[in-house]
Amino acid sequence: MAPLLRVDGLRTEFRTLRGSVTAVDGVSFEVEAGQMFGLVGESGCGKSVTSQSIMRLYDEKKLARHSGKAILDGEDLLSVSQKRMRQIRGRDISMIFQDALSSLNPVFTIGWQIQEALKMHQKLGKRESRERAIEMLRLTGIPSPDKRVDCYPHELSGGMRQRAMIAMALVCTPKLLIADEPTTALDVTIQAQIMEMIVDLKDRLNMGVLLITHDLGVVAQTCSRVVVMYLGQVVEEGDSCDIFDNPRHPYTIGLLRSVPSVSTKKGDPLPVIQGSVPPLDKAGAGCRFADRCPLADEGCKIEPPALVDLGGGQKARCRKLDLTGG
Amino acid sequence: MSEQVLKEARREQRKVMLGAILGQRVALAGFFIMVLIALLAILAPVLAPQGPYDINPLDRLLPPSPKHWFGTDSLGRDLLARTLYGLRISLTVGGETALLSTVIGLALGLLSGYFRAVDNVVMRICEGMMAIPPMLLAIALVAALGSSSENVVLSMCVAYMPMVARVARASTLSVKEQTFIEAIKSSGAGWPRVLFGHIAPNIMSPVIVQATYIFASAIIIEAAMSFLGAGVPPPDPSLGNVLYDAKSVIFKAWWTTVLPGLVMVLTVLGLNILGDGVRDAMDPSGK
Amino acid sequence: MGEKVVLEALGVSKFFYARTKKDGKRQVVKAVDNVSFKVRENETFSLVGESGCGKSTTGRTVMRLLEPTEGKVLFMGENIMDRKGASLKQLRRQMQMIFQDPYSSLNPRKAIGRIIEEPLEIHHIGNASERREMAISALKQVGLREDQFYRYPHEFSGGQKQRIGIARALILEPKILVCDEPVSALDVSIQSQVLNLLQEIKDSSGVSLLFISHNMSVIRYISDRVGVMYLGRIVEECETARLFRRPGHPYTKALLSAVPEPSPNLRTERVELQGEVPSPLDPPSGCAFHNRCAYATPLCSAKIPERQEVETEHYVECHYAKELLRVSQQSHVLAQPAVMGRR
Repeated sequence: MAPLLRVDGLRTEFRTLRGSVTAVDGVSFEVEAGQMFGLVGESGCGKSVTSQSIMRLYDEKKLARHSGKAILDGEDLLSVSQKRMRQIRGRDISMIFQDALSSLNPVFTIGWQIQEALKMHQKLGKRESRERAIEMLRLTGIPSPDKRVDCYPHELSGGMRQRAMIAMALVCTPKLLIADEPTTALDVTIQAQIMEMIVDLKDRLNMGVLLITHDLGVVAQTCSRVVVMYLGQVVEEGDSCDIFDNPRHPYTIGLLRSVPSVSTKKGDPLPVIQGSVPPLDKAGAGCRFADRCPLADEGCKIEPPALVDLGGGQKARCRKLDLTGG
Repeated sequence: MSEQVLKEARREQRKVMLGAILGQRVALAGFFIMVLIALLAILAPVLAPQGPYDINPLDRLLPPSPKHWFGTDSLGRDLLARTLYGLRISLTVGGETALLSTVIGLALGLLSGYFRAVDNVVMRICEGMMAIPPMLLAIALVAALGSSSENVVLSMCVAYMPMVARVARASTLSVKEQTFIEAIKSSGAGWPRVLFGHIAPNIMSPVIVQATYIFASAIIIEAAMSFLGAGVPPPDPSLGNVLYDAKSVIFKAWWTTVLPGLVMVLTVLGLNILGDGVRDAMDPSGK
Repeated sequence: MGEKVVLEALGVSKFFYARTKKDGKRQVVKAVDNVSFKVRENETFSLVGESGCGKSTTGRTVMRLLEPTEGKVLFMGENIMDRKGASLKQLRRQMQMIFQDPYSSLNPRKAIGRIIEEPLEIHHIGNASERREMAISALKQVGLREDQFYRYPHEFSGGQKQRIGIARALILEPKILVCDEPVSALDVSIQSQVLNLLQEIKDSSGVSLLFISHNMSVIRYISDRVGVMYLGRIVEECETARLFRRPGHPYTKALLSAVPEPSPNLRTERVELQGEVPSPLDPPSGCAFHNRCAYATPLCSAKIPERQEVETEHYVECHYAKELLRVSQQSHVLAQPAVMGRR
């Protein structure tokens, strides 16, 4: 079966004052229908730019070059016309964001905003579309949806707003949902509720979900497949069991270890990744992680490593994989 | 050893900052225009071909010539001399107004942004004053106080001060909510240090922009007031009353209005460019 | 860890009065409601809870950055509530704070060396060159270089800015350091660096930490004892390991089970929490948690539970704490060893 979304060699360059920087550098992955796919990385790793590139929602003026493919159901999103893209957005792909308060328009009721998405893509009568909005709100677990449909965003709590935004994104039953840090601004108990709801809706609607987050815990709990990004490149990809239990790229290993866990002894120093993420334009010619990597040698700084297939669907971009195996 | 490293670091930082300032083309352009104009004003006694008050009835309304670059006015006074001396007075009046109203407005704005009790009193008064157009207020004050260049400065100050106070207050309100203010308070700092050591430097850029704007518009308002007979009293030249004198002969002798007018335009333009440039240059992140 | 108590909060409350009125009365937000805790010498005491639970307000109130509505705070056994002027300033020297947002907690118009020096200047410690020496050594202590002394905050990354904030707090050699969400704004790989630094400083200088966070795994790593807050009250307080092994309060239990463990093999069975934190303007009657609690009975909505000591040094504000503790002894997901990092 062909995957729902196939991203192939995606590359996005932006113009800056100091010349162009490659924010996304040859990213490839596949999301299947009904799959929860995690895109993980720290700030500045290019995970959000990746999703913006797929949706073509970047700032056109700053864009220097854009290449590669993002094929959704046999159609390359990067080469279709703007008009066609507008049809696809909201109907075939939807997006939800971290900050629900600023993603909802404060001067319209949430019902109105949900119906607006419907109006753009489907011809439905007024009553029907209102019914549909209420149904969506019910589906996302908002209590007494027939009343909440007439509420303004500020009248809802943070968790409710997030649910309303998800209702808005899903009203046209998209094939793919891109969730960009959907729970980062929420408390853990609410986060758990929202994630559970997304997983549940994903199964019911058989949609693919591209979950973009920095939270390894959320990914481990929900995703079946994971891509780890560092400075615009995929450094490791695999099924989430493999990534979390048997990570092979030194960055993934370091990232996982630096989260304090049950097994971390109190008082022992936490394992750390030295230094911090360098600015994109300062990345060297070789491996982008070389400066912070405990295993790096001179060769790593010169020769860019290739993404090595480790079998079982796991891949890692490293020259020292023989040292990280286990 | 440590001293050495520090000195080096400091020199490095200064170089970076100087580089940032030199990189501000706009600010530099404004700066050079203003230096040029200030030099013209300061060197007026040297540059002027004759005294600004020297009347020569035989040379009335001469067009520009090598002898009188800007021509002469209806009393036969050399216009270049009058313009240069006028520039002196206009710049002094404008500069004093800008400085005085900024200092007072800044202090009031800081205090009322920081202390609620002060806020209610000061801001209500400022709002009352801002309801009257600055020009009317200034003219009314000059009419009451008598016409002299000190009174012109004073009255324009009263008219402009509320604007600075409002800008300063608004910025103070937002800066005082920043965490670094709480941090310095939790180190034990008293309010004068918080207000003048930490908040003031962070609100300077909008205030400085406001100050250059006041400088420029004070020159224009003074000209307008001179036009209405409430400005710097004659025979002292200011850019305003040089233009006022030219009004009656505007169709006979174009140079009497156009040339001093151009000098005024250049001055105001230079000030505005400088203001924008300074604001950009003052941002430590260099953007 | 000594037995000496450095900081003690006794029934501290902080109410905010809303502008809106209800039934002719001005609405009250009980941001902190009768909170008591102790921080011992060289100990890390943490306050954990979700947003709006009052943990930050508690931190600011004991620091006297906010005036409490009721209650008192003892510092080294002495009531500090009526301190003013010079004696308050003296107190500030011994209590310092680190803030959540590294971006806004440093004055953008001051070189970082000056930022670190300034507390010394405020308290008239040393002369100019001594102060600079001290600032440089503080800079080095937090892992920065002295040639960065004259740089401005915008030239540093988030983690480095947080280090600068720590240096500023440490330069006065405080007895207690209040850390308000110090790593929440940082990337995962930077978080661990800053946590290590704090731990190292605590070990070497003997300072006590009052650590405020919403992040359970951070709390678990850094703290000796934990207070769990819900709607302005400490609903459970005990030693860290015990809290994670045998939580006594249903809220703690739910909170712990909601934490996503970074391992797919540990997909946790959730104690499902219904709904969201109620508005502090209109808190539920009785136990504030009863409308979300799986074990609630009519008693819970009628009566505010007393704080009871279920075991030594383990306090729970719940009518059924003892019964629940017996249940949680038998099964809890977090008691399993983690698989993370295993090869």
